[in-house]
Order: sequence, then structure tokens, then C-alpha cells
Amino acid sequence: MRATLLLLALVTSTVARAGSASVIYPTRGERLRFSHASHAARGVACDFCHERAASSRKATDDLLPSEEACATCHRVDRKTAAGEPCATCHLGLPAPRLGETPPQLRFDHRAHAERAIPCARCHGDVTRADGRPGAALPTMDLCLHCHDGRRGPTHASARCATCHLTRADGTLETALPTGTLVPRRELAVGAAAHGADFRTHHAAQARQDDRACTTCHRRSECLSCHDGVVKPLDFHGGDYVSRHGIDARRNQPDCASCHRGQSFCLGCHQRLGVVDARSGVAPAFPPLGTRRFHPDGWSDARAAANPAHHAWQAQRALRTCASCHREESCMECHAAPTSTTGAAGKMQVSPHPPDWEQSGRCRALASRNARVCLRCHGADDPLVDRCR
Amino acid sequence: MSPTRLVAAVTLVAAIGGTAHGYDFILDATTVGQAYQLRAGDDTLVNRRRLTQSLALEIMNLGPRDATGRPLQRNQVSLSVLMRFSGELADFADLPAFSGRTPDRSVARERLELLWAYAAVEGLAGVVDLRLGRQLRVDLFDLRAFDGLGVEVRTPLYLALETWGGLAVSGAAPIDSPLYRADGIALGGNLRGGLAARQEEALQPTVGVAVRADRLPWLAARLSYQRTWSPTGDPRPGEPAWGTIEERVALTARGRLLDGRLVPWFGMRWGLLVGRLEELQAGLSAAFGDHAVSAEYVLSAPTFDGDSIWNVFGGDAFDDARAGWDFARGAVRVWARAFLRRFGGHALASDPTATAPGGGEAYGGAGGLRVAGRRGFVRLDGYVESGFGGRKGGLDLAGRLRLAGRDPDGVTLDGRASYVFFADERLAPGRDPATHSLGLQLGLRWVFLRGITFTVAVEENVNRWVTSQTRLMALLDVSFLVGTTGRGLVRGAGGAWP
Repeated sequence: MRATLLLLALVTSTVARAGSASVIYPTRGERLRFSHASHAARGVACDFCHERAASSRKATDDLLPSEEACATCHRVDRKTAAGEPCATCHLGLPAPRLGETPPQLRFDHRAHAERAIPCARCHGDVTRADGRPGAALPTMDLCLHCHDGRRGPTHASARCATCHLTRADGTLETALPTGTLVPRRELAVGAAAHGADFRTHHAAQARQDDRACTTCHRRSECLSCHDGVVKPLDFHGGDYVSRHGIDARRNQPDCASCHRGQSFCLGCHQRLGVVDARSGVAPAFPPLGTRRFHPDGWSDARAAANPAHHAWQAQRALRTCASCHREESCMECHAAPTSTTGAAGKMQVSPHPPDWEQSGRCRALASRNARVCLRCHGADDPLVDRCR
Repeated sequence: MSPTRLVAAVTLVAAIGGTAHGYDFILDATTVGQAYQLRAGDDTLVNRRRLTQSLALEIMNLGPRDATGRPLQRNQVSLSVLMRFSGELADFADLPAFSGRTPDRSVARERLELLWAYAAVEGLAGVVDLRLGRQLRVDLFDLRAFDGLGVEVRTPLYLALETWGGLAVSGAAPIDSPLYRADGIALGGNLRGGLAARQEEALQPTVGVAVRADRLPWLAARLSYQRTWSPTGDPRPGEPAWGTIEERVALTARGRLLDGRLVPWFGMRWGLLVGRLEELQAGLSAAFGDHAVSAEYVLSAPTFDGDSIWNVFGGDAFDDARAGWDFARGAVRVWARAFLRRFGGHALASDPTATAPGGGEAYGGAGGLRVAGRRGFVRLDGYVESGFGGRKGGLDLAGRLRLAGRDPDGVTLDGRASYVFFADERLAPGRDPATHSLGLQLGLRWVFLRGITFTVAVEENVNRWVTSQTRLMALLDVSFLVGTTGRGLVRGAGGAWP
């Protein structure tokens, strides 16, 4: 307990504010006094100080003005200290070097300058900005106004890799030295933005637009969870095997997104001795038969007045039946007398919904795969012909 | 030295000593060892030990580059292979073979799987993508794979056309994976001569077409159709020569409105084989400030392959209403979820006097808090559910602490304590359905050189049936990237911890 408390205290004591913006634009230890507004008021153009900006092709280029550029106007004299006081610009000495950690982006200033895009289009009206110099960096929303995927002189590619750093396989580099890059809230479904439960609730987005996922994730990452080899400990917490039956019957979460009932589930249930012995496949771990997994009345001849009857349960959770049973279990009682396979329906109980023969479901299935009808009906069964 | 040896030596030296030009190469090898205990039908504990080795190889960016060396978005060729070997050890043995039945292959003592292997050309003439070989499709609300050819053409009309065809991967071939097999016909253990046994290994040709929105930042939409069928193995009198395994049409759409603050989505899948709606999703999320809310409706019906009699049983869909709230400010995230699920039910053809009983609803809620710090995080999750299926409620306290190094490298410690109460009320009489369970998990992860990850995790559980149930997992993931875009290592994915 003491160790747990110590762990909690240690983690919570180092709480930090983090966000995608600080990952892209690392927080810089700027200790500088600077007013863009006062410089603009004196008619100083952007490229007077940022003289390398218009020709820069990389975001890693240091575009901050050098002391030499400042010295054009400011009397800097390190030797005699006869000029302006250092504190005019520097907040404390020794002055830290600025811009040590570059933005985690790919950016070509020259390409933008060649399109005659003014600095203020991205950096805003700095003539009114008296805040810290880094505050004028553009946000992704601003970029997307032009990078919208449309064609034309004022439009540009909307591909993420246009600006974001990528790995060799074309996916975005998310493990940045400044932190982990995650989508902004607006880009994620359910507004969770890779939030606290996104790992367990991303199905809606992945099923509908998996291209968004593969922007950053390789397919193998999907399979690392979805192939059911390793139990993700955060998804299936402690003692999950003991209680998985509740989730399976409710299908919450969707078991089939990682596990196939007729291989993963059935294979394990067979071996552990919880399957139906009538399938003829003996379990590896007896005793089977002394232990029942269904309540009384489960397989009574009539379902009426018995809410625990398997007919009702199968309607609600047929998937879970398939995790323990083969079709033979069902056919033993439900097959038609004309059946030539299996036990030929000793109880002859129709498993079909009411009015099956007149339903579109019946016709669709019979016209596309009549084999399934012949699992329980003989080839010359007149009942089959009614559906066709 | 013989000419053959000379050629081999030159090839070896060239392969080892040469600098990679014109392509990038990724090798990702993962080894997972697991040992755990499962409670058998007679309440004894069964030991299961598994060894899984995955190997992914990718050669990419075989194509033109710009002046800075970056691959252009046209005429890029790549090769990708992912294979896996699984071994079963300890008591979790093969099932005894029964005469008159096909061998059980649901769990194999040793299994080699080829999860995918394809060659791809992207941006052919700037608009065509081709993929040939075993490939994965996340489509039609499911995960599928096939051996064949997939083609995508992007048109100037903000539309892209897709088509694909080949043989579906069903787990029946020697290096198939049952991962992609639709439920229905069991993989082994079927009576020989019966249709299930004859269709176990039947080839399954599959074709599909799709049209999707392309280059529209505010809309992702896709309409797709897929059909898979199979010949009848050793057909008997009256049996058709062919049968459809699955035939579906699906439509999905997702909007991104108000700069992403409003996201509506819709998805549906109609089963042409079974003549009914199989999946339906519709939802809306809205973000304002640090808050976001979402509401969603889901309909889901059980589906099986076309040879399964479960298609004609009365399996009903369930309806699900979900709501969520998220709050995120700085390093703090808070969330809450709720759901109400209504399971279907109808009268029986065999017993018209019987009507579906009540109790077909399930409902629940969950919530959590996560606080991140420079060296890790703590999170607390709680949930409670009741209704059809059973009752459960629990608390989950988890945390991570970085012991050494800087992200992504370093050593981290993960821990989780779980308390769960659950009552599985459909168990046989005489068994008390309710129990309490306590689980503890502890894991250590060491990442070094940005690409090598070593993870060990141990889990210990206590409940009414067992005083000690142990799970042990060790994972070694090695990912190398070598190429013209920069030599180095990339970090692998996977493992028990996020």
C-alpha cells in the first residue's frame, strides 16, 4: 500500500500540461523582451530581421535574427558595455540560446514566398503583437484554410505528410523528441481524440474511415491487438477469463472484432471441457457431463412460460451459442425428418422465425445458397421448394 | 573458388556492405511468450504456455524521389510480408482425434500463418494504386483477407473507384489464418461426408467494388459491395454446384463540419445473402471548449457464413443507444459513458403460443479520470452494468511511471489493480452466480535504441474459485529501419501495455 501511495504521489507531483501544440512547437526557454508592434511602427519590414526566411526550405532552419541583425539598429557592444544595456532585450544573463529545439514539422518558407503569400497570412498581424515572439506561429486550422486538397492557385495538398514528419513507410512520425503526437480533438470520432478510452472505443472511426488510422499507424499495429494473441492488459483487466461470459452474451465489447467464435472461442471451450458433448468431440479436460452451464428448463420441449429456455436466449445472443456449439448440436433436434445428415431431427422443432417461408430472408438465402437448406432438409423436401 | 561460391560471396558482400540506395527496408520481429492458467469445466486449473513469433518485412519507396530525397507520390513500389508462428506448450493439448471426423484445427500445437504478403504499386500515373498478393481489408465492418489483386483509381471528380478479387483467406489452407474466417462452419471436428466437412476447405472466390469520396476534407464516404462464394465439395444429389458465402453492400459516411467541432457519422451494412440489415450506426459528436459530447445509435445482427444453419435461426439484432462526455484540459482527462441495449425477440414458429419474455435489456455506465505527468500517468476507471447477460461492476486503478530515460526510450513501470463484482445468472442451478474478484498486474517495459522493446508483465487473480491464478507474459520486439530516408530504428508496436 505504501508503495502504491508513493507511486501515486510521484506521478501526480509531476503533472504537466501537455498538448499537441507543444509537441509540434516545443516550448522554448525564451527570456527575451521583444515587441513586434514597436518595430513595425518604425517601419521595419519582416525580412529586415528575418532575412533568411524567404529562402528557407526547412522548418529546422534557424530564422531568428542574429545579433548582427539587431546590431544594425541597436548599439551592441559586448567589450565595453558602452552601448545599450543588454537588458533592453535579454531578461537575465547569461542569455540562453534560442530555438534549440526546432518545430517538429516540415515547412518550406520559400515555396510560400514564391506564391506571394504575405507573412501575415500565417503569422497574423504582428504589428499588434506585444506578446512573446513564438506566439505568432500558425495553427493547423490556419494551414487547413489553404491546404484543403482542392485544386487551384490558392489551394494546396491536404495530405498530412505535406507538413508532418513521416517515417520511411509514409506514416506520420508520432514518437517525437518533444512527446507523442496525437490527433487534435476535432479530428477524432466521438470527440475523444485518442482520449482516455480511445483504445477501447475506436471501432466507429476505424470501420468507417480506416485511412485516417493508417495515416499514423501501420496495419501490423492493428493486428497486434486484433489477432487475439496477446491479451491487452488495459482492455481485458484482471481475472477477465472468469467473467468474460457476461461480456460475450451482451457482446459488449464486440468479441468478434478480435476473436472468431468458431476457432478462438470454440477451440478453447472444447479443450477446457465446457462444450456440448453431443457434438461427439470429447474435451481434453474432463469431466464433462457432471457440470452444466445452462439453467433448468434450458432445453425443455416447449419454450412457453420458461424465460430461461434456450430459444429466447438464442434469439438474443446467437453468437455466444456458436462459441461452444457446433451446428450439430442444433441439428440434433431442429433438423427436418427428411434430413439425411446428422441425427435427423429427433424433436423436429422448427428453428425458423414465424412466416419464414413467405419472408424475404428465406427467398434471399434459398436463391443464393440452397446448400444451407439441405443441412436440415432432404433434397426432395417440399418445404424447401416453397422458399425457392 | 568455384563460380557458384564466388557469386554467392559477391552477393553476400554486396548485401552486407553496400549502402541502401533507392529503397527503404523495415524488419519487425516480435517474440511473445505467455504462460497462464485457465479454469476448466471441473474447476481445475489448466496450464497453457504459448510462444508466438511474428516477422514483418517491408521494402518500400522503390520509386522516384524529389531533389531532397523524399519519395514522390507516384510510381512507388513496395513489398510487404507479415508471417507468424505459434506454438502451444504445456497441458493445453490437442483434442483427441475421432474417427469419422475431420481433424480439429481451431487451436494448433504448431501453426505457421501468412497474415499478408503483397507487392504494391502506388501512384501509378499519379492516380492508380495496385496491390497483388495476400492482403488485408478493413471493410464492410469486418476484418477480411484475400489472395488476389486490388486496384484503386482516383478520378478528378473527388471520387476514387476500388475493385478487388481473388480467393478469400479462410484458415483452411496450410498457411492460412483462421483470424479472417467467418463464423459458421467450424474449422475441423466435423462429421466426414457431411456438408460442413466438405466445405471446410472449399476455395472461396471473392470479388468486390467500391466508390469513395476522395480529397474532401469535410467528408469521408464509401459505398462498397462484396460477394464471396464457393463450389460444393463432392456434391450430392440435389445440392447446388455453388453457394454464396457472403454478399453484402455497405455504406459509410463521416462528416467534419465547423472545423471539426461537429462530426456526424453513419454506417450501414445490408446482407444480400440473408436479406436483412446486419449493421447500422449513426452518431454525432460535438466539441465546445474543453468539453465534447457524443450520441450514437447502433444496430447489430449476428452474421455467419452462408453455409451455416444459424443464418436461418431466429437470431435477432440488438439496438444500442450510447452517450458520452469527455473533458480534457492540459494533462487531465475525464470521461463518462452510458449505454442502453435492447435485445430482440419474437414468437416461435414451433410454438406460436409462446411470446418472447421480458428481460431483454442491458444497461450500464462507465467513467474515468486520467492525469498525466512528465514521468507517467494515473487513471481510475469505474463501471457498472446490469440486465441481460448478468451484472458486473468494478474499479480499475492503473498507473505508469518512467523510471529512467526519455521518451520513446527508457524504462517504465506499469501497474494495475482491478476489483470486480460479477454475477453470471445464466449458470446452472446450484452455482452461486455472484463473486468478487481481485486482480493485480505489474509490468516493466524497457525501450532502447528507439526500436527494441522488452516487456514483462505478471498478473495474479483471486476469486471465489481460485486462490491464485497467474499469468506471465514476456515480449521482445525488434524493429529496424534502414533506408535512404535516414538510417535508424523505428519503434515497434504491440504488447500488453498501451
